[in-house]
Amino acid sequence: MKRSNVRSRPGWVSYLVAVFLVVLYGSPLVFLILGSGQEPGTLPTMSPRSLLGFSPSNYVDYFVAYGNAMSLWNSFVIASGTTFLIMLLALPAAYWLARVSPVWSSILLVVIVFLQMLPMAAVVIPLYKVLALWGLLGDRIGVIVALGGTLLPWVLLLLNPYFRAVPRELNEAAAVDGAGGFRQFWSVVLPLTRNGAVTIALLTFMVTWGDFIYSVNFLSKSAQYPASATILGYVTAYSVDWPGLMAASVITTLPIFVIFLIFQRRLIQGLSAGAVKG
Amino acid sequence: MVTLTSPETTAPARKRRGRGQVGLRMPRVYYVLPATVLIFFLVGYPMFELFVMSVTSVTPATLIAGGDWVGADNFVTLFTSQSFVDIALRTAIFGVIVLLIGLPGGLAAALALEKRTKFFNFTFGLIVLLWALPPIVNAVAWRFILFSEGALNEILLGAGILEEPILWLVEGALPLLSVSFVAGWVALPFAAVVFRAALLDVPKEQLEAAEMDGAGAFSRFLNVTFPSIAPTVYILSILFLSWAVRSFDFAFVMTGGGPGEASTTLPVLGYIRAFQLADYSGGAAIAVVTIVAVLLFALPYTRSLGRQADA
Repeated sequence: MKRSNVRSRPGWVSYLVAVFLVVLYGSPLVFLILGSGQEPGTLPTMSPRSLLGFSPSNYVDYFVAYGNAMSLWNSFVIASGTTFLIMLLALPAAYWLARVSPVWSSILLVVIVFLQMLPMAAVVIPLYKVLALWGLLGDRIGVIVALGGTLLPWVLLLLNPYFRAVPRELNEAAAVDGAGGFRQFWSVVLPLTRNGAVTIALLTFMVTWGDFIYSVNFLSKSAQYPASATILGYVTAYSVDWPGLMAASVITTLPIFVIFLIFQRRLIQGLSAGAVKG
Repeated sequence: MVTLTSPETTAPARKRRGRGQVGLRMPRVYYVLPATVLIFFLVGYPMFELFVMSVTSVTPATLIAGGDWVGADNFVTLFTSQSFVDIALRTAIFGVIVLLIGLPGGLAAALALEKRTKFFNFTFGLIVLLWALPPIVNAVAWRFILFSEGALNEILLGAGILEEPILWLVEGALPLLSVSFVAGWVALPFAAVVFRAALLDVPKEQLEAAEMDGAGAFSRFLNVTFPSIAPTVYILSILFLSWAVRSFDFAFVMTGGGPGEASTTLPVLGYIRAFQLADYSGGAAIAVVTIVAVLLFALPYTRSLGRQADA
């Protein structure tokens, strides 16, 4: 991306800030990786010596000894199931919302902003009862619909501008060509919002991958736990097995890390495009 | 990541299209029906249940059947306890610290990394990556850095800067400050992304004109850049405050709200009451208060979104 720069080179203050940020944001990641390779049950040390002996035993223990063999699969099922459910419902709803009269759309947007601000740590209390009533406790479906309901308003809010940006004239033109209501949505509007929709689906996937509040409360067996929830098991234990905890964290992070590397440009651009206009 | 963390983000503004064109059919209501049904059953109805729990006396035995009506008792008990006042205050402090770190930090990062050199792009990618990681992972990493025998003390002691370790997660106000710092640390990259986009809209001609008139860097920032990004600052402030009031992961994972209640904020208190002390009614009352506190921010937020759409 080329921009006209009056002054050609960044000043030393910029470099100072950048180096500071690299240290501030890089070190937690480096500590996690270094610590995850040290003797199980020991206190990780960040001495240069620890750089040499990286052992994979914590990673093996995580899957074998601690019985988390299915955790990444569980994470995948919950995150992709929730993302699919949300996009399936949110795309037509966001389209409808962008076409409704301005008065209605502003009223509904207030409601949606309210809903997407509800704290998960608060909603989880009644949800526990509601899912118990419906017999959905101890089932991944329960976690998926709960996450879906909680995050749907947020996704609607993010999708809204993308659908608003599609001119109504396109609907008219398509109608003149004989396209029915659903064809207008499916073949005309949806392809134009695809970029935004994919970015938002990625964000939804990443957010649901990281959830643990719903999973630890709504699932009954730890064999059902997604990776993020297995971390909590290490944290709440009486004595913390740091290297094991760090290996669990790295395992949970790795898929998000890969997604981020692949889609980095799209995610950052999507965030900027979806961000506030100055 | 968030969660977003918590999930925090803002909606872009687009020019409103012409209204009320003739010959346009509204998409039928079944486009929005499934989404409405899901929200009704998984958000609306649970909110009703939450309210009922907060005005009844629910024990684990009566969780499903429902407890006896106690009116405002749970709220009276809550509001008259000293610990509630302390925790409300801690929640406010938490929010202010997140704001003080996230906003100026994000703006500084966006300004410093404005030129797209390789190193700056790498730095920008790195901080956004850490924002995108699961909050529980960031909380674990920082718990390791800050706990009494953790990396920060090891480094400071090793370098001879400290003689005694500092108990970041234990002593006095430090636990609350540490947890707030980490939440601000997560908020910063998001602000940087938003500010970087906003900086692109700062009028270049005015910056150049100001420079030719001999205005220094600080004066240019104050008189040209800042007025242009002021609406962004406003919206981010609302977003960060509302996000901080509902933030749960960092305190819960780093300190469990402790020691005692030293780093407990409202959502942590409600969760611990309900799920660790099995006091569902007390937890529900706290959750209702938390929700009201968060929702105070919803109105100014929607209004500012509306103003942008009209612009």
